[in-house]
Amino acid sequence: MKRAFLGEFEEIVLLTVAVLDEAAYGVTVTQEIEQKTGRAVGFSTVHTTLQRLEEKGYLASQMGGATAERGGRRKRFFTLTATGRKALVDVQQVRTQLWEALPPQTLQLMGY
Amino acid sequence: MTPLPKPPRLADRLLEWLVAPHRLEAIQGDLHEEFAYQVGRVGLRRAQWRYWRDLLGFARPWAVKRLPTDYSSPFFLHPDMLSNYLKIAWRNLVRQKLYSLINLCGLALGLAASVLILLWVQNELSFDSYHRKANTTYRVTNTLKVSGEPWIWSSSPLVLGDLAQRQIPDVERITRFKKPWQPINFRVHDDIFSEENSAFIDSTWFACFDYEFLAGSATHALDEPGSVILTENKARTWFGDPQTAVGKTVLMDTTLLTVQAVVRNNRPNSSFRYDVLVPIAASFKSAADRKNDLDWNNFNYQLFLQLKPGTSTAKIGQQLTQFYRAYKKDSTLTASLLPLKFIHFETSFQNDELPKGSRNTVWMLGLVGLVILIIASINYVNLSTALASQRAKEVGVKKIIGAGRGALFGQFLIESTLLTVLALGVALLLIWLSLPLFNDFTENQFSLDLGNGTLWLLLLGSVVATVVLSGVYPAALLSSLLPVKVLKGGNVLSLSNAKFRQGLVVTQFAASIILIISTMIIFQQLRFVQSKDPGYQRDHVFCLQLPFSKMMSGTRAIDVMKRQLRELSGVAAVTSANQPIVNNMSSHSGSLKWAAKPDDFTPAVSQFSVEPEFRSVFDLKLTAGRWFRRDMRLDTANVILNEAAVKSLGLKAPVVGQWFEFQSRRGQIIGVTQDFNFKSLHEKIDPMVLFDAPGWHAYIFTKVNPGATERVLADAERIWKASYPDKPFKYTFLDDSFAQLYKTEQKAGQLFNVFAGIAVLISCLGLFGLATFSAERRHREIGVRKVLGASVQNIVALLSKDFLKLVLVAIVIASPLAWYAMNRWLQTFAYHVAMPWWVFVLAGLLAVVTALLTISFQSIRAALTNPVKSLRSE
Repeated sequence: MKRAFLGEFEEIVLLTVAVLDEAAYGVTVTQEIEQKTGRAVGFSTVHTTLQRLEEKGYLASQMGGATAERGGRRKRFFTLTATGRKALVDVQQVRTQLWEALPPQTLQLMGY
Repeated sequence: MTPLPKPPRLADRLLEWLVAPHRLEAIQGDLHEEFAYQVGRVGLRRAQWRYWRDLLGFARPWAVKRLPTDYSSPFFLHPDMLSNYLKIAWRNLVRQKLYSLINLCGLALGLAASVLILLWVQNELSFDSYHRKANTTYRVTNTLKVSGEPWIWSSSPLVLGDLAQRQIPDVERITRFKKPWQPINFRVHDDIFSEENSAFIDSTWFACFDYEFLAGSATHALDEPGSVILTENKARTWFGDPQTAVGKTVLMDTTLLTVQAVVRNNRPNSSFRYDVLVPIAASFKSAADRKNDLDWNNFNYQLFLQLKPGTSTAKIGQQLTQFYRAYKKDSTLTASLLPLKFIHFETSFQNDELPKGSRNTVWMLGLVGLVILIIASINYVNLSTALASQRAKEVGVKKIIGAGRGALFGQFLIESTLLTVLALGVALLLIWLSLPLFNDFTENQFSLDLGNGTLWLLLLGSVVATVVLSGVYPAALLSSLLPVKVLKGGNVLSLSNAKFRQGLVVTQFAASIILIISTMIIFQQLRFVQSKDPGYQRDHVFCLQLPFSKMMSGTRAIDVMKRQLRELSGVAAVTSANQPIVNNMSSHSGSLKWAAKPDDFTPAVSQFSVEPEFRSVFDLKLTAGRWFRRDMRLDTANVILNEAAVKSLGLKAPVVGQWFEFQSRRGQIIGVTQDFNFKSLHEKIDPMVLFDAPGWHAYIFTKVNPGATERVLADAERIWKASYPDKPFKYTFLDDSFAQLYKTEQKAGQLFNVFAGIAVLISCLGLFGLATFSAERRHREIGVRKVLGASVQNIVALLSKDFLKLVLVAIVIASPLAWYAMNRWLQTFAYHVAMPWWVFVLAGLLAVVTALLTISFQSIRAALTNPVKSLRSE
């Protein structure tokens, strides 16, 4: 089976969209990433990544309703597609397998 | 709730321009929301910075790329659009045949005239700057100041150059040339050529000045003292073919010279117009000649210095002046340096034979060229804005379909460019046809050489200037039309536009009238100059100049020739003098003494060596005393003064009989002549001393009986050939040399005449176009008026009135301007006509009549049309 390839930042963005569930759009994703990872991310970088993930088919987007707080401009909400969810699961599985394959002494050293 | 802080406006605009419309809403919304959040977090200033940074992050293909649409709005310079513009422009040109023709003719004439003028102006302004080392090359100027006016020479002693080369380390190279005293004769095979344009040059000449060698080389052409270098044309006249000339020999008097090189003809912007170049060494026929030139007192050479970069010219000048102090033992002379590029416009020299230009003429003609271009452009502006209503629907529809203002602007600009380029084609043809005439007139060698970069630049510049002048306003106007107004119908153009058009017509006619008035006044002044009695008779007198070498051998040669001429039938009288009476350039100061002379007064006077017979030939009038007489032996020491001299020397009456010392000879003042103009009328009559010293004479004047001219000239040539077989026979009639004095003015007058004609023609073309348009537009009104009983005269008057008013306003504006300009020009003459008021009336009448004639064709046609024709279509 061909496994999905996800870059590290792509994975984070994808996960964040999943975390935010129905409320994922540019601003929330950026702020969520900043809060959770503590790293400063470029606004346009997040947008670009969201765009790329949509092109790869992991995300779908639809325009929301008119909003009052941003001059009536609508938001573009992102949701995970089936492929997106599968990609996350795949990544998770690979990690788990690798973790399970770790020798016990290494695990001990890492504090497990 | 306080209003939220807004992100930077400029950044927002940039974003809207940058990001594709289908992505913009979400991205801009996100950015704004983020901005509001950041303002709360880090403050306004840093949020703004962040906004800018984030925004620039969206300069990525995915965000910028537009969705393809079915209704694309291509960039206005897209090839498809360009071809569309050209197609529409062409259709319009063809549909409006008359207006297009008027525009084309006007622009072509204007372009041709101004390109010719620019060609000349550019040439004048670029004199001598084409030499690679022009920026570091200087000519030595010598200024002698004893008392009164300084004497400024462009020539230096031969030895000064040698000293400069040897003793001033900052001088990289020197070079010199001298012009022979008179044309040199070259014997080629059996033919004798007398070459006016020959010069003796240093061996470093070609290292300093750039020549293009067609045969031979710059480095070796001057290796031998017996060399001669020819220009292409000269080699062709002498040998038939420039290529075979090298190696051939010619005889310069008795010196054998070998042609070492052939160079390309002198450029029109070169000060050095010499076709035959011979090393200086070859000019010395004897040791005495050489010694003579090595003397510090003989200023025969123009000396050029090439300095090392960064050298102070003042310092070099001081060093040269020091040489005069040390070697010439002279404290009255100072040397200075004049940059090579400035030589052409520097006219303060007493003896500079290099061709001179006048900055005033250059600027004046340049201005005239620009004015003509403006007049031609105004035609286009007027016609295309007048015709705007016909294009209005096109503009309206295009705007509704989605054309932006910029695109429409571009379209109309491209239309005017197309017309200008077409006009340029016609203009090039006109230039090509008139270039021989122009060259003849300006004594230059311009050519339509399309490999010449400057010419291209000139053409391009004129086209761009024309497009800007003619295209921008109509394009801006047409592209500003509002579709709703246009499609609703009615008058699309505001009243102010019509006013603007009228203003332009006034400008055109004012400029034309100024040119007409100037032309008339110039010709008035020239007629005045030609017809003013100069105080002597110059009709039927021709003048011969004796060869310099023969003159030195005593007075016998000149006496023999005078006797022979006198014996010819048809000769009324013969006399001689040191200078031609028409333009006496000989002046003197220093040796004058008289009884009441103050010690510190050393006046400069013109000196004129004459003889007893001189007075009757020229019919000079005496106001006191007597003329020189053959039977008075002492008369060779006596002098006659002119009235100006009596006045400026402060002589007390009775003047006649006072002792007077001149040129170390003491005698008496035996008479006073009436003032006569012995120089051009630009100058006041200077004080003059006339004296009788036959040894000075170099010019023979022969007065011929009317009708005998041809026979006498043939006989005179025979006599000349018998005495001087190796010198060509050259004579000038005093009338001709008199006319020569005003050659520049004559030429300026003729040029003005031509350009005034062109300006009037172009203005009339424009007026014709407008009259046609107005007759067309008002044809229904005319029909109604005729039905109601208006006569043909009424209609013609109705149509002409508006335009005549404009011409009258133009006359009112032009007259004072022309008066001011021409008054300044007349002031350059010491003797000039009073400003003739009738010229203004005549020019005004001329303008009115021309305008009336131009309009009448259309107005009469419109008035004669059967009203049924114009009204039935309603």
